[in-house]
Amino acid sequence: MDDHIEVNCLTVRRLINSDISQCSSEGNSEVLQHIANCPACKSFLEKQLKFNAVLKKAVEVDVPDGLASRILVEHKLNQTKEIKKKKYSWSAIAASVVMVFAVATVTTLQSPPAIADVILEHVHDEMWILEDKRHVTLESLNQLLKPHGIKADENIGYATHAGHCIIQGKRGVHIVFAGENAPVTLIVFPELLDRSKPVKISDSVFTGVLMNTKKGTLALISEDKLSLEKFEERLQSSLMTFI
Amino acid sequence: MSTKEQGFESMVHAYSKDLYRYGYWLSKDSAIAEDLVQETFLRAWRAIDSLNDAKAAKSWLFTILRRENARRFEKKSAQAELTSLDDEVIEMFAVVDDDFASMDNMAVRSALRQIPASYAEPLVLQVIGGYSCDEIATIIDAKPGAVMTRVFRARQKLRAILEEEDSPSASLRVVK
Repeated sequence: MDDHIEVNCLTVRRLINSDISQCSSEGNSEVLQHIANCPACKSFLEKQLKFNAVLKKAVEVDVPDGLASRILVEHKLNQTKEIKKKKYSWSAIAASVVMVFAVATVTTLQSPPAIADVILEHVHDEMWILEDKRHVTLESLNQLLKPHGIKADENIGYATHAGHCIIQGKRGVHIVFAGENAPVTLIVFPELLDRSKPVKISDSVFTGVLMNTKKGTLALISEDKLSLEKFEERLQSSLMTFI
Repeated sequence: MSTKEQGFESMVHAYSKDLYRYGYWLSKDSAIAEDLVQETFLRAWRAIDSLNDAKAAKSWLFTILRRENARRFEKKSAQAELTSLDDEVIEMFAVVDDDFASMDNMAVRSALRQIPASYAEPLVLQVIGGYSCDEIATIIDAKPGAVMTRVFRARQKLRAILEEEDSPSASLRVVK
């Protein structure tokens, strides 16, 4: 190798090692020409490309199923909230009256924890989710539930909606299952209930139950008592494991 | 659906996987990685009107995700002193015949984890996103020259770790 070639080899190999994209077909023409005429650099490039393929394979971890769908659902959910805020702000007072009534009912019935009204309000706010008709796979459900220490099996039922939600500033999971007569909402959030036993809650529309998991609270809510009870039975039959 | 919505949806379908992988590499946690991607698109939507060039969307999203991840931590400004590459480039000539094709993913991932993040990150961006050093420089807010050096160093360190693990003495250590 003469001096000229050696300098070029040095430059080219530096480029191959640090910015291999410039050594591709759309890269620097002088570099490409050198590679075409220098078997050593050509071989060096080929080995680096092989190594890159190995690297790519290593960093390309599996992506959870339905990731793009969940992002778009969250996006639509946020959009809907924005629209609701703008379009229906006039009804805020009326809604608060309903909620005050609902909370009062809950307090009278069960003296439930403070979180009960927050959960019920959340379900009221997002009632449109109950109309969702898509099918959420078990894998997607478990991806959402895993951070909360919960694993469901195939007997959990047919989920028509699943996504994240924010409850008292904390990120929870909001899932809707097809029930016997009406949908059943399952909400999990990372805050432990200050009760050791399940607590029944209800308002003028919904009936529900709150219970502790290992890492937080699980809420089941439905408009229909039978649907709720059937779903509770499934939970009690260990169809959902707290991990 | 509006053009803006369509554009957003296309971005989600086109880039969510690469963003997740980058988020996973940054956080080492699948749930956090998904949160990072969700938050990235949330912020992207809010600022989508500021994106003038659709071709820049991918780099833009990676930048948002990186910033989002940085919010989780107090940034440390430990910047390693970067020196000239020439000597090391010459050293690289000695390992031209290495064959890494048989390396398993776990070994490579483990080796990547052992490299300081400031070096490994540009390399991961190059591999996952297919970015040039100039583009990576924009994403990580560094000078292109510094990125070239870091990528080079990352490859060098990676090779050193993989060679070490592949050597007979390394096997003996494992058995022991």
